[in-house]
Amino acid sequence: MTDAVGARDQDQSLAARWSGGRSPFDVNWATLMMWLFLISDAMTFAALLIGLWVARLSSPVPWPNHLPGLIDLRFVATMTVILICSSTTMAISVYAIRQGARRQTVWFLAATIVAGLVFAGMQAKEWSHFIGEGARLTANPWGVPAFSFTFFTITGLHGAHVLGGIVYLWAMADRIARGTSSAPGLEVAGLYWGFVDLVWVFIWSSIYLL
Amino acid sequence: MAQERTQGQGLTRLYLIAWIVLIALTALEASLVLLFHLPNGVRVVALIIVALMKASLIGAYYMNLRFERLAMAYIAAIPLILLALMLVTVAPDAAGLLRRP
Repeated sequence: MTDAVGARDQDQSLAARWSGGRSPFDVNWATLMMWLFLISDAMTFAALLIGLWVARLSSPVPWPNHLPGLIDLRFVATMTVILICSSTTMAISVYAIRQGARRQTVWFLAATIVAGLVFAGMQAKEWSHFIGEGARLTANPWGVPAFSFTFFTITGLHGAHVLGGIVYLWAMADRIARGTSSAPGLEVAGLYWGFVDLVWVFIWSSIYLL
Repeated sequence: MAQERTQGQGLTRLYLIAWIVLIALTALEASLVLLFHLPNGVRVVALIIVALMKASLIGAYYMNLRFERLAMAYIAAIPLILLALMLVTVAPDAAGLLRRP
């Protein structure tokens, strides 16, 4: 009898930690679905980055990413800072919509979109410089074909996420301005934009810094 | 829900602090490569640590993980741990195999 009670108590304390019944994560369905998408997206990026590292560690010649004049690290650092600024304005716009300040929300979303566009434009400039130096998807003058291949694939997929995110945020800004979207919807968009910044941390480390 | 727990002016301050710290860490990363002449191993370890710090700051504040249940953070963190494991096991093996003439 006491054992049964003890077992039930234990059950309840476990249940208290992992409870929620129909909502164990205590978030709305849209947030959970966005997280599931982001995890699977993270796996895609992870596969690409692991591919990069395997190619890089097994390369017989040193990886050419630090050749002078090839990649301007200061330029890419500026891109990184711009992306960080954009996720800050995104977070503030989510905060603003929670407070019900629609006008402010739209302004901060606009700032986020502008920063995203600047980032994408700088990425395009960097690509054209890289292509001008002779890099192609499957060949380049530095003797390691995988170098330009991984560069274009990984930064390209990230750039596609930035462009897709700009469209997403644009649609959200429009809906909020019209009053057809509310705080939870923008929170989900904020998760996506945070993820774009999060992935860039690893891309910036793997391709440019290390 | 996250929004009930995170009301108040403190939140914008937290975002701004996270912003400043992230920019400072990025500057540190760039100067580790451009300015300081460290031994290669030290630089690599430092860069990885700073990258993980940045990633956890973004996850915690910009993706709200700090204000969600711990179970949500597990969803995000466990694949990362598995990933590090996979890299540790796969990379040296592949490096050895591919280098073989």
